[in-house]
Amino acid sequence: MSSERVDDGLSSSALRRLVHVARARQRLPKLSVTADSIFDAYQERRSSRRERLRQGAVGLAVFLSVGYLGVSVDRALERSEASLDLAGYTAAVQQISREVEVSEESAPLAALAPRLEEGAAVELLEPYARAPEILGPRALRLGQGTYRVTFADGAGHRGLSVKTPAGELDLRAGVMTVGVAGDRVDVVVERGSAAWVRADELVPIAEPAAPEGEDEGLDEGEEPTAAELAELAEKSLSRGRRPAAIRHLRRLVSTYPRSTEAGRGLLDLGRLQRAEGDVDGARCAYQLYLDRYPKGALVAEVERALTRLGDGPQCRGLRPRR
Amino acid sequence: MAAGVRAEWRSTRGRLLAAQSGDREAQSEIFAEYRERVARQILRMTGDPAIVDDLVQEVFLSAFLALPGFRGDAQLTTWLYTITRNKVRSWWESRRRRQAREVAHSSTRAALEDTPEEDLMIAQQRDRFYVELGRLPDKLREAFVARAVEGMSLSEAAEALRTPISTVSYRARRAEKLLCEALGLPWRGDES
Repeated sequence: MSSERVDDGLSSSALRRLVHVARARQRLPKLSVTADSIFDAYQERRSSRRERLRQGAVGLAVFLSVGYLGVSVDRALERSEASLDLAGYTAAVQQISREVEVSEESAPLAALAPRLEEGAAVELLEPYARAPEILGPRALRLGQGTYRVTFADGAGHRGLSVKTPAGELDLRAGVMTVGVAGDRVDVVVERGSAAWVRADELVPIAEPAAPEGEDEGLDEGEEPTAAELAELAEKSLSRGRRPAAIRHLRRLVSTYPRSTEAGRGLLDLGRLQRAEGDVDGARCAYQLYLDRYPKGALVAEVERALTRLGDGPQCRGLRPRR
Repeated sequence: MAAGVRAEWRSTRGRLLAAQSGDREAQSEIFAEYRERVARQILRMTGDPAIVDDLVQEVFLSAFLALPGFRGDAQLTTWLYTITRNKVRSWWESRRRRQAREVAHSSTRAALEDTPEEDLMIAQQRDRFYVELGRLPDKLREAFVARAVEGMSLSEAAEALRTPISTVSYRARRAEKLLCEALGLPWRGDES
């Protein structure tokens, strides 16, 4: 990130002075946090995670074994009408419990760990998002980060239960994006319906969004305006759909080359294509910006971006010549 | 650690892989390299030196716990910036919830009792700036901090905030207008 202050975007000189004061007069305090203290906390957190997993697995194993023994005892009683040997029953449960107390990496416990049922899925949309905790076939808990949760079968009284720091969500046959930051939870229902579970009632979150597509959010046959295409690109991006955002931006800069949105659309297009690994496409988008806006305010920034991308094939519009 | 293994770290990728597998030395190296950068970002985002240490710890703890899932499609600096931004956002939210701004404000002043008059005035201006900054909606504040306080270019801010350039630009301008109004400063149309 650049420390160069070429353009801070401020139009108020008074605020600029204040920001300058805020920046310049800040003295970084002596940091007492050390790598050791962080690593110790890291180990502790990992241990507690392992312990929770182990306890969950043991609990599940005990639950299953009690159920199994219960059936066996019932059958034995039916067969021999013998009295129930409680001491033997308890010992047997303890024996089975001991047998499953092994490390989390072991295969038996992995097999016992709960899994989401077919049709239910959770995807991490950010690299730092914490892994969700699967609580059962139709239940999971989200940590910090942004996730896309999918549930294909909403039949029955309840859908997929998604626990968050702000409460429980119920997702019925659809897709939703959930962003968790601290105690704050933002939910976007992309398809289907979802609701907050409050006491004994379900509080719907929002009307289902339009289906994903080239013209999502538009009426059929309607030609989107430049502003609408820019908005569609932003919506796609906020939902983690980079390829869709690129499609909308390409359409924007090609259909409305003289619109006010086209200039920044080209820059976004370059940035997103680079992030997608399409370096030549990114180079062409930046080059097209320089061709169209040789005196634009962001020319220096675009030139730096082009330099960072290095040499490549020449471009025809947005397309590299192969 | 053996010298041969350590040599592998000469590539950033090698060090990252070691850190992802929980290697203490690799994590320590990453911490040493990025610690001050993260601390400065936290200070610029919050204006409160008292919480820098705690938030640095939280950022790196979250980062190391999440490292195994880091796919490397973003730069480590951008990834850490995102974690820092989220931690700072949570901090502002909890601070607002507890309505503890006045308490912190008074404690800051107490710490400045012995400073010269000019420094005190500057510190008061800075405090006022951060009080109003903290009252902005999260997204506006983050765009403003990235552009005006961190000094990022529009592209860099868009990358760091994972938001289109046009949106970053709009949010930063909107934040500037609200800040000027709150601080009684002239803004664009008001300035001749």
